[in-house]
Amino acid sequence: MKIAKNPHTNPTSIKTRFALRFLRAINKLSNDNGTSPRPLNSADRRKRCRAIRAASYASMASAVGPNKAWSRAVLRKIRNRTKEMIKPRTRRGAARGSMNPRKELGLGQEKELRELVPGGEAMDFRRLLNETGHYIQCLRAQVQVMRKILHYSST
Amino acid sequence: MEPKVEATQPQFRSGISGPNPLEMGLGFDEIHGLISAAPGTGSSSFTALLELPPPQAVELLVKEDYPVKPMPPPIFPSNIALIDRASKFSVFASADNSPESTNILSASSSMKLDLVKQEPLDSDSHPNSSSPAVSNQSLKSNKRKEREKKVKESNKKSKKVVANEASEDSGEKLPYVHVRARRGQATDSHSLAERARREKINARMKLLQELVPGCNKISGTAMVLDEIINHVQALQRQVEFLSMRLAAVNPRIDFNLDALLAAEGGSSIDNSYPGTFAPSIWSDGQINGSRQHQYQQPWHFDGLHQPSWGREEDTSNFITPETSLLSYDSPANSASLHSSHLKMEL
Repeated sequence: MKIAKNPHTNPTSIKTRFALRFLRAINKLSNDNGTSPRPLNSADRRKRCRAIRAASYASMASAVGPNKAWSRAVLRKIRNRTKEMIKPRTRRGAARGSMNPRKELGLGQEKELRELVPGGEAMDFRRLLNETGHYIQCLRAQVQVMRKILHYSST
Repeated sequence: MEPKVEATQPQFRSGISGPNPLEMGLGFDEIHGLISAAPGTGSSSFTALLELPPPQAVELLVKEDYPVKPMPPPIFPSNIALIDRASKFSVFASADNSPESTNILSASSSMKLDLVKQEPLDSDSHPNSSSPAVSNQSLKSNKRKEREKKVKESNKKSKKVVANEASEDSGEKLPYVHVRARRGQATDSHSLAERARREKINARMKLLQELVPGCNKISGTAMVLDEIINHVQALQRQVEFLSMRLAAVNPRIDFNLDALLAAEGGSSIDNSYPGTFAPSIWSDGQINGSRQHQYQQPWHFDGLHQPSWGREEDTSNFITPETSLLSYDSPANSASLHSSHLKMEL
């Protein structure tokens, strides 16, 4: 049974690692745009916003490590995008992806959950629930750290 | 025998009182006499169970794959309730062995428990018929009664799952799952396995319910799933919103990451996040200068800005060392090694 441990009570915890990576990424982003400190036109701002968001997901996924299916999926996506090549996906769970046809098909929620959680398509339902739990915890931590960064950078 | 049967019949129908061991033994003995004297059925395995010594009987009850002898329906002429129950478990009418073995066992166990429940009734009406010859058997049957009570309790429990569920992705490599069927439920292997699976899914749903705020009051998996989906979407929207704000605010951040790393030294950043974050950054803000340049230098990734990739090479080698990353890393090797060294010190 999934044990709902809090992954953020460790000093070298996911939160810490995420904060470090994210800060570094933001730093790099802002140093690369060193010339125009304030991207005034909206396209640049949107691009920067997207870059920051992608950096936050990437930092969180790399902080979590390869132990979780969703973090692996995120990293895979990023790597595919940077390398611009299609890697053969090792769909370990594809054979049993359709194992639970009977349960939880209330109005396609299961499908929706699979779309929300990265890497959710190739899992059976029980695994999907596990991953969702961990994903929710990490998302929460991500939001907290980002909020704190925002707070301390704007003061 | 017939009048004796009818005489004892109404006693079984009265209310259930608390068990008294001695009287239970007496009652049991009477029933035993009744059953063993029941004509025509010959060797029914149920009576064979009764004659067995107690531990073996319980063991037989508990084990699922007990090879059951062919069983003609046992006749309990004195107990209408039992007959009703026997008819409910219609397996008694069939002559099949193996698929019905679990059925028979569970049915027989439940019937036996009925027997146990009704023994005090009988015993209450015979308080004075105490014979020393019965005492031995009463002791034996008392032990058996207690074991049956234990079996009864385990019957009332939902499952006895022996499978190793500690690992999350042990989904399909479970060892043999021992499952006890609940009373009144189908016990063929398919529904058992399905029920086990459903229970695991329900357990996880319960954990998720605790995780998502406000989900505890909702019952029904569909609504809970809705809540979970909403929660995940809300969190993702928050991330997007925060990243937008960060993009607007951002340009003036010079965090001294080295100082951040060093200042952490054992204290968890999340526990004392509001406290240590500001001092660790702003107190060493002056030592910024040269250190910062090391990080800036040559990490020119085109797609995502991932200075963390270099670190990944050191710590967790799940990213196969790609040549592009390595080449980017080499000039900045000193910086990354330095920071990784600091990180290891934590």
